[in-house]
Amino acid sequence: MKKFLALLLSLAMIFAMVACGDTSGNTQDTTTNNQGTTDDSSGENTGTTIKVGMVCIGDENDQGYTYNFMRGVEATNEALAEKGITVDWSFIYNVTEDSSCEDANIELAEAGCQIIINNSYGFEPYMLRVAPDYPEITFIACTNQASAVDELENTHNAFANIYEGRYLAGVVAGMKLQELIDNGEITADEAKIGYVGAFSFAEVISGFTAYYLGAKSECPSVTMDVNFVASWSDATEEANAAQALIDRGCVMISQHSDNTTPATTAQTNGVYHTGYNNDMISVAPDASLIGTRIDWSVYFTYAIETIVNGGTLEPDWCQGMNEDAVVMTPLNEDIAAPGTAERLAEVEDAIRNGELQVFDTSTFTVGGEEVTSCLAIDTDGDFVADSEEAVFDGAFHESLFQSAPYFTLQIDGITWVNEAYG
Amino acid sequence: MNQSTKTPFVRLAKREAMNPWKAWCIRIGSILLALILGSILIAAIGKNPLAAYGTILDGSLGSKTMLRQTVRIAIPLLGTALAIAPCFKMRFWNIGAEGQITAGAIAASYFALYWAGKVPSALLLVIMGVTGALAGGLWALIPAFFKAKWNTNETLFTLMMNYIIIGVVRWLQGGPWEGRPGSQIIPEFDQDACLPRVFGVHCGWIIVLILVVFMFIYMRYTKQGYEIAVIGDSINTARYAGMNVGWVIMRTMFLSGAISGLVGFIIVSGADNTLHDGVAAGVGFTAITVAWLSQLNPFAMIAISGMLAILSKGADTLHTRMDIPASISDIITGTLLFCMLGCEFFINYQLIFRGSKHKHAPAEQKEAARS
Amino acid sequence: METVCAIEMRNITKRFGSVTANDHIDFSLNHGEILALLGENGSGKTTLMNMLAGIYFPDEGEIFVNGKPASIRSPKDAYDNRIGMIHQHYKLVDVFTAAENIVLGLHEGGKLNIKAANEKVRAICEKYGFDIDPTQKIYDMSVSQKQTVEIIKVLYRGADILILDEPTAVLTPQETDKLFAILRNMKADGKAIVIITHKLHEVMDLSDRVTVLRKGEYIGTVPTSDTSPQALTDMMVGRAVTLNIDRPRYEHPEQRLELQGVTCFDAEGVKKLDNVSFTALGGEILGIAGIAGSGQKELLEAIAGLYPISSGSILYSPEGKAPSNLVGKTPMQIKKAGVAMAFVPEDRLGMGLVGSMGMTGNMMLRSWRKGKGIFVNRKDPNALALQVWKDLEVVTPSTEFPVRRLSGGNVQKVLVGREIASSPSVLMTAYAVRGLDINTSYTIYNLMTEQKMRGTAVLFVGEDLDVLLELCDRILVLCGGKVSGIVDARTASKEEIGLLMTHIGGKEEA
Repeated sequence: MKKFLALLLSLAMIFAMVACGDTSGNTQDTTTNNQGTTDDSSGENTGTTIKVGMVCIGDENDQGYTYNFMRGVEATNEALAEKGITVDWSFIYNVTEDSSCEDANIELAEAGCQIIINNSYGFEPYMLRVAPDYPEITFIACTNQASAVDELENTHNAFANIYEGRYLAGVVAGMKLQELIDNGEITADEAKIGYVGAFSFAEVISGFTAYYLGAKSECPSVTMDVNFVASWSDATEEANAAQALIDRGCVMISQHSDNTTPATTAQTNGVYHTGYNNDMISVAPDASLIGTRIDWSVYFTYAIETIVNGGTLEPDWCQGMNEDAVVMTPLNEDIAAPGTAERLAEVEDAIRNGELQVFDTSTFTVGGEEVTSCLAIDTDGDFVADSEEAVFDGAFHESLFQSAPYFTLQIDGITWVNEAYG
Repeated sequence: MNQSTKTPFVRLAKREAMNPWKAWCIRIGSILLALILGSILIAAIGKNPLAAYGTILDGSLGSKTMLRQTVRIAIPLLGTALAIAPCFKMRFWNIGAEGQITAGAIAASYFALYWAGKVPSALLLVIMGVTGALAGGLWALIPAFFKAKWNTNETLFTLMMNYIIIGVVRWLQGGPWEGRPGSQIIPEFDQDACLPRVFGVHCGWIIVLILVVFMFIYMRYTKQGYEIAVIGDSINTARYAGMNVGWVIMRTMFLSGAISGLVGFIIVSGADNTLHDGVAAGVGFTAITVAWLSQLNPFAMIAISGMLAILSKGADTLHTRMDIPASISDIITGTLLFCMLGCEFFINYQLIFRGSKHKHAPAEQKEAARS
Repeated sequence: METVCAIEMRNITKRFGSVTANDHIDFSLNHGEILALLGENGSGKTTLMNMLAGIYFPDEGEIFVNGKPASIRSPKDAYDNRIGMIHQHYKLVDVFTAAENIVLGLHEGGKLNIKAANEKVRAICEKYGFDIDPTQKIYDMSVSQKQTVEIIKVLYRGADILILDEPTAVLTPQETDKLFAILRNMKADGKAIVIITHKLHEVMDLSDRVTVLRKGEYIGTVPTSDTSPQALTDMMVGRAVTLNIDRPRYEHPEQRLELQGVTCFDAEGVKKLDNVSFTALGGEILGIAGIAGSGQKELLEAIAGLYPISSGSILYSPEGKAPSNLVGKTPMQIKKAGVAMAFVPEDRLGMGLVGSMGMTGNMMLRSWRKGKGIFVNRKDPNALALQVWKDLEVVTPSTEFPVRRLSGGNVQKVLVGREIASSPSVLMTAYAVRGLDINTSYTIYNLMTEQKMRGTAVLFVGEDLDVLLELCDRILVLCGGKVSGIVDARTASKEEIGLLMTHIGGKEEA
């Protein structure tokens, strides 16, 4: 009995301690909150701290999509540190695109974040459910598009003109192919690119079309096969798709998916590769020519600085190479065709100063005919574009009316091997 | 005594029936043990365990918003635990609640996507709920039919059925029901197809609380509940009593699947407002733990699902506020469940350590003196 | 110094939860003797011996083997002490041969030499007079052959202390005689043998000394030559009991049940009942005898509508009504017509009772469907439970106490009490006294006789031929699913029935 009493007493003690811990945790938390608000009101003062939350579809170990965001976060921290702004980041990783995303947004809002960034397309509807309850917090949905049409002041979208980077990667690929033709290693007909795509989604279609057009500008005889893997990230399927493309005779592989397995597959088969999100030279030194990625720090720096200074964010932000929002990963000079670096610089300049339009309607045809009209935006929610003419001045203007890509034309020269839930 | 040196170091012995209050002390003790183990872990990664537990409580119950989220997490858990309870009572190991939820969600989503605006909201919700329940029930009926007819293994069968139905959702997501082409996302439901909120949480909580009462009465006082209990105990006895075992299996699985399907409807209509392949989100499996821990008592399920929801919600807060990774929270939850399930063993058995019998010696002498 | 005891157990106590299975038991066994360990079911015989076999470990007390203290923690320890136990349930691999089963689990220099093993097995067989082929597969063997394999297995491992747990329960009288001859051979060879039993005539027949346990307590040990069945019974039961079953004749027996050529197959297509025909009369106890698994269970289930019948008919003529065929009716319809079955399987709870429920819940099994609405009526079953509780003196704390936790006898009282309470016109019981203490057994026998005198046709499947001969009016013997013969219980002999059990029609040449 004595023993039992002792046990009960110790139980009571532990409970009391837990209870104490509870309250101390509480106060601690409110202090940080208070800290945050005072900082906010103090405006432009040097030494400002701002709390920013990010809801991530993956985590930094995915070496792809979320990892690229993390690189952006690091660069943002550096850029803002120079301006005396310290960012206190909170991340929630591996969030699924369902109501747990709503939870994640609430969690960050309750934790006192002033800006909450959702990094995946499918997060937006859940973010929009939370946003009305926290009008003082800025919500950002990357790669999505609703803020232009919703009635909320505090929701924003952001993307970058990644198609510009794709075009440049295509230029590198095209030059390599032309070199192979010139050296007699392949015939002009054999200049075929294989593209591992995630889904037949506008973002992907826009990307590979830009890539193809870039390649075609250097190697007129080039054709392309696209193989969709029906997943944004599935290392095995991506490798299988790359292998299937190589078996179909593709000598150049590129990808719009998260893993490095297409690069390693290309390396094993002795063909070339250009990457996405990530510099893949380290994993495939004999195959990987170059890659392109979005540098999110450009937008993050802009957004955070604007909020700290009490300004208003653009509801739908989209920038390209000219603002360094899209960057190329280092060129693999060992295997790239001679003169690639110089040519790359030229084309990049042309894009920056607007001389070159990626989707120049004179460079491609659909069903053998030049495109003269194409609508961009869907306003009534049936997912069929019904407004905003995108084709004018001799080009299709991508990401002009909204940040999220809307180019979905299937142009001649590109063969869809499958449709992957198209 | 040289024999005692050779006795095994520790032995097991079945306990006599234990005082209920003593059993509860052991249960509480096991939870404390889990908390202590958890604090060692938290301390090991350099955080303050007490603050961490405080954060879990504060993050799950600390404010109205938090509480609502916690309740929202608990709703499908409770509902599904109720759904599988009759099956488990019958010793039919239905681990296909995941798939039955999904089947219900698909049916409800169909009407949400294509009937919204054509019928009044209340009617639409009723249609969604009823069809969701029907779909879940029919999906569950398939393995039950095979079990009743050919005595197939229901564990494997129900498990496999999960993957099939999730595949169906993937197809819908990328095919006929896809919103923006290529997005793999089914559009959000019209407001008409969303469950209204009561006290800030979708009214699914009212539905599952009604289900708790229903299930309690059903299992305890109805003829069907009696049949289930008898079959769970002995199929031969059930046959002997004139029960049509196959029929009862099918009927019970239909009921179980129907409740799971209803939960599926609650999830899509109340929480997600859309359908996706992860709609069940492991609830069908976690609910098994809930059902087990509550020993199939519907009212105990409220407490257990609430506890798991607190841990799950608290884990998020722990992550954002104290930078304790979600994986650590998972370990803590796992430890807690392990201790809670494990303590039942100590309620039923006792360990006898070598030499411990000396402590019993006085008692023996007393007995001897008496006789 | 006197001869050293093969086994000596002092002050052994073993508890299972609140149950004390063995309470300070003393026990000794000499080399070259057969000791009968006698006691009713639940008296702790098997528990005590399991502590020698290394299955359980005593809570208190000491064990000496050949005069030296021993700690037996596992079956391996038991073998190291040259103790071997033959359990009631054989542990053999069906697809292995006898010799393979015998050497299974032994480490003899790593390599299995099956030829040498066969030879060694043959040698053992010759020595003691076993009749077995070492290369025969277990699935081809009869129950008694399997038992032989178990015994040889123990001898092969060098045991000279043998414990046999109810070895005759599954044997015919002839097989029993054979076994006893072998045991006597082993005794002559200096082996120490314990035979656990509750059959008095076997004790008298075989043993040198008898140790009696009652309710976990040690009652005493007597030389067999100095005692009598009556004296032993009194020791077992604790008070004087009469061992006579009253067998009155019913005045106007009339036909209740007539089976004509009933044939059944199991799910695998094996014939379980083969052209079974007989009549059962109201006011008569028809005993059904046979080796375990000869079709007794199938026969009762077929009549109750629980076993599919492929051909034949079962005509049922309730009092004052026209006969009707039961084949094709559902179990519920048959039960409503007045055919009741109380089947006590080996685990006692498997058929007819719900272990996790109390008496009320179990009474409900007969009435749960009654009444309108979706709710079960608990009131009437509860009243019935209270009545059975009182009438049959069921020992239980309440009518809600799970029957699984009742002792075997009480479980059976619940089962039989419920069936009798429905006043059936045909009452079928199988192994109704299995595992019951003597008093309760006699209570059940009396209940059967009472039912008979009410004009009920009683079908009584039993194991103990002595009881069948005393209780029944006629005895039907089954052999391999066929009716081997029907004898008048008042005139038949045990040997006659034993022969019928193994050979159709009782002829040796089969």
